[in-house]
Parts: sequence; structure tokens; C-alpha cells
Amino acid sequence: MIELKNASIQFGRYTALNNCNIQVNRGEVVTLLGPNGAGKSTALKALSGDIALSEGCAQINGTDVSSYSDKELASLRAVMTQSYELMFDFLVKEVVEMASFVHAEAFSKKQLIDFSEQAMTMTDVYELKDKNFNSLSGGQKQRVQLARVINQILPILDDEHAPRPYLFIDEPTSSLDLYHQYEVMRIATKLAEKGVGVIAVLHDLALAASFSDRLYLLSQGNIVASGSSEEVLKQQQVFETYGVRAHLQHQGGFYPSIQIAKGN
Amino acid sequence: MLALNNQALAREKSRQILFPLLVALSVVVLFASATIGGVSIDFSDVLALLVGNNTDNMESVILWEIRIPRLVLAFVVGAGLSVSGAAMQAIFRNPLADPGLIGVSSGAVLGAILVIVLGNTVLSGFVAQFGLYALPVGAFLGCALVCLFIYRLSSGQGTFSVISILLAGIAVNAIVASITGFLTYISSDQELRDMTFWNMGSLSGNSWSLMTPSLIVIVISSVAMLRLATPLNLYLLGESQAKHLGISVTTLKKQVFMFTALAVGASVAICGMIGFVGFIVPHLLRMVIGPDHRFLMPGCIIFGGLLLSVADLVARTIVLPSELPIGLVTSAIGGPFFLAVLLKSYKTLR
Repeated sequence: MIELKNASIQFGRYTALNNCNIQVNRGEVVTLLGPNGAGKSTALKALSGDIALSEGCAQINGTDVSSYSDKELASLRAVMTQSYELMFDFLVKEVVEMASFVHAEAFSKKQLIDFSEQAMTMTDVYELKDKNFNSLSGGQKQRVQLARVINQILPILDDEHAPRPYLFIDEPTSSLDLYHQYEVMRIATKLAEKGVGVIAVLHDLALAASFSDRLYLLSQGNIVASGSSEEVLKQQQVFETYGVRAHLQHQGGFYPSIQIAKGN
Repeated sequence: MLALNNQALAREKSRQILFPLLVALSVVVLFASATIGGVSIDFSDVLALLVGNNTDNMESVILWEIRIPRLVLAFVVGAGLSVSGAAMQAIFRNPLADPGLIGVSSGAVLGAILVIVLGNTVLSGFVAQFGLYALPVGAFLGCALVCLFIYRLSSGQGTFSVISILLAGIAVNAIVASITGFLTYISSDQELRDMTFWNMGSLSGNSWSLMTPSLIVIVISSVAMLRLATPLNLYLLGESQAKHLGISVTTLKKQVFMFTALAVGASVAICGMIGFVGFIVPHLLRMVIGPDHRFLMPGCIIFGGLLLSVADLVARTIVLPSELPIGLVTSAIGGPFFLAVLLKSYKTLR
């Protein structure tokens, strides 16, 4: 389990996170929602060990994140950030294979190439593998980076005795077309079925409602609601958080959708 | 799509062809450097001397005491400057970065000018102590002190930020430049001339005993940097991305800082300032074999060494019996060559 306990983060006088409790178990997809500046990415960074807490603690598998070395953390969790830029012209397959570094001691070169090809196939970028990464579109870059992150956890999943890893994805669908938005979240769900604990930051409420086991709704550094999509995405709750009247709609055979009211 | 696929193929092919080609060219340059010069030595004599026959004639002395040490120095310095350039460009994530940013050049100039200008007065004790080594030791100490100062300014609270290296580097370089400027102002005409030539670099006049300490430092630092190739690749993804993949980013930056300061400091100490090599070699190679440091850095070792060996061959033979400062030659060969490659790559992009 990964967990934030009574976590607060101060940047000078600004409170980015205020006494938050978040838990993610293996095998579930948990999504953080909230308006810009609500503290979603900050919470994710605190959990992944990127920023230190002012108060409270961040734990992975019961141990404080800060007491793991970078190398140990790399075999416990993979993180996809919002930055996709890369200096110099690497090929797509070279970018994806960068994650093989984590497992270079435990697997053969051929096995590692198999994993990276599997990851590229999953995110639908195998066809692009010999292209220059910097020549790709924003959405393609995002899928390549996702393939790299998945390539970091596939070898862990391959080892039956290794503890299941966690996957952190920060707005993984922000540049993607409709098909790939749903495809990426389907991949997250598939990984969760294999025991991976997935924590995502999303802006699309419908996407979050469609694929998350649990949601946390954040506003101004506080968690204002948590639970299933029905519990969290209530009209009043969404209005108070986003200032928008929204209605979560379910229809047989379709993923849930969000209807937004005209005017306020 | 096809063209881009070819790019991947072309890179792989270039890697396969380039390394044997560079090694073969190095052998050619070895023999050219051994035969050509103020005294020409026949190719057959060089072969005989290299395998150890006829060891006590003048040609043997020229070969083993002048040409071979000089060639080794050129190769090692070229290799060290180039691999340092590649590492700097990666750490600053900027193709224009060079070791001057961390104070190597300004520190070395300060040390050298102190010895040249104050060697007869304030620093006469130092000069007496170190004799022939006074100038290289002075330059190396100057470089080490300035780099250390910038390092201390940039590291704090467990971090080591590239931006603060850059800013501290600019400030410290400016301060050092003003001291250097003052020393230049009070120097005599002869000292000024010595300083100018030191600034243009030269590989001449170095015996085995004088250059061995520098060679050892450069070789050790360069090999250490080769071992950082994969972490440097990952670092290009971004600092937090590299950290997520298990790289201790702060340690990596500190290592690159230290090895670059040592390699370039030792080079500058013995040869003076040789511009352009550390900047141009990684660039050219990246265009041909791609940015993967696992290939780029070994490539820099061979190509950088080769380029400086050729430049030195030109520098010491083009105006016989005199010789040109090597810095002039590296810029004169490197500049147009680099421009040509740049223009060609723009054309292919279009």
C-alpha cells in the first residue's frame, strides 16, 4: 500500500497540501481530481518521493518514502510526469529502453528488449520505434513516455515473487485523442488487474468515473471528498469545487459521461 | 516514415563503420606524425624504431623523446576535452555548454598569469619550488580553486542545481577575469607575449616527465566519465525522470563536475587553452551516430584524440621551422568543417 498520512506541504506561506490522507492499494486504480492548483500533482510528488512533507508522512509498503534509496524506489514504483521534453534526438525505442536500466542486472539484454517492445505495443507506439522522438506530435510523445514508464514495471510483474509495483501517472491523457484517452486508462486497469496499484491525476471527470475504483476530490490543498464516483461526483460537490453544475450520467453499454449545465 | 526509418538504420550503420574507421585513421596519423616534421624519418625507419631496432641514433631520440610523447599528449588531451564536452552538454542539457561554465578556463588563466607575471617577485618561492612544473601546477591549482569555489557556492541543502552552477560560474568568472585583467595591466611586454601564446595553446616542449602527471589525471577522469554514459542518457529525460529511474542525480552532477574539472584542468595546465575541440567533437558525432552516450563518449575519445593529433601535426609542420599555436589550427580546421556539416544537415532536414 502507498499512503499519505496527515500530510501537509508548505511552500513559504502557501499551503499546497493540508492534512491529507490518501491510500492506494495494490490492484486498484485511484484518481485524484480537482481544479488547477488544488494540490493533486503535489500529493503525487509527495507519494513518489519527489518533494518532502512539512508535516505527516508518505509511505510505500509501510516504510517512509524518504528512507528508500533512488534505486530501491525505482523497483517499487514508476512515475510518469507531465514533462515530455527530451534534449537531443533520441529514437523512440531508445527512449523506451532507458527504463531497462532499472533491471539491467536481473534480466538479459534480449529479455529487456522484449519488455520494451511489449510496452510499446501496449501504448500503440511500436510502429514509431525507429522515429526520432522529437519529431513526434505531443500525443505520440506522451504515449512513448507512457511506454517507457510501463517498461519500468513489466519486468517487476514478470517476477512472481517480487512485490507488485505502483504506477503514478500525472495527467497521462492530456494531449491524447479520444481513442487513446480511453485506451491509456484501459491499460491502467489491465495493469491493476495484474496487481499494480495505480494512482492517476486526471482532469476529465468522465474518464475518472469510468476507470477509477476510488476517487479523491481535492480543493485548495484539502481533500473535500473521497470514495466511489457516485459518492464524489455529486452535483453539489462538483459545483462547490469547480463552480460548474455537472451531472454524471450512466447509460448501458457506454462509459459514464458528464453533462455540464449551461450558465451557472 | 521510410526516411525516418532509414535514420535509425543509418545511425546503426554509422556506428558499425565509424569505430573501425577512426581506429584505422588513428594508425595513419600515428605514422604521419612520426615521419613528418623538421627532420623527416622514413616510414621504414619508423617501423624499425617502433619495434625497437636501432635505438641509439638521433632519429630514435626524435621519435621516442619528441614525436611520440607529443602525439600521445595530443591524443589524450583531445580525448579528455571531447569527452568532458559531451558530459557538460548533457549535464547542462545544452549543446552549447562547455567546461568554461564551471570556471575551468578562468581559473587556469588566473593560475598561469599569476606564475607568469608574479613568478619573479611575489611567487619566486613557488617557482623555485616547482621549477619547470611551476606554470602547469599554477594553472592546475588556479583551476582547482576556482572550480571548488563555484562548486561550494552551488551545492547546499543536499542539492546541486545546474542553474546555480551557471549563475555562480558567471559571477566568479567575472571576478576572476577582473583580477586577470589587473595582472595583465601590470605585466611587462614579454610577460604579455607569454600569456598570449599560452592562451592560444601549444603541445610543444613537453617531455614524458613533465606531462605524465597530467596524462594520468586525464586518463583516469575520462575513463570515469565513460562509466557515466547510461546515467547521462537518463538524465536527458529530466532530473526528476532520471531520479524515478533510480539515478542519484545530485551525485551524478557532482561526479561530472569533478571529472570535467580534473580532465580539462590537467589539459589546460600542460597545453594552455585549446578551444573548440570539446565543443565541436560531441556535436559532430551526435549528428552521425546519435546522442546515446554509450556510443557517443567512446566516439569522443577516439575522434577527439584523432582531431587534436591532426591539428597538432598541421600546427607543427605548416610553417616549418617554426610552429603555429594549436588553438589557431583547431579553430581554423574545426570552424569551417563544423559549418559545412551544419549546413548539410539543414539541407537534409528540408
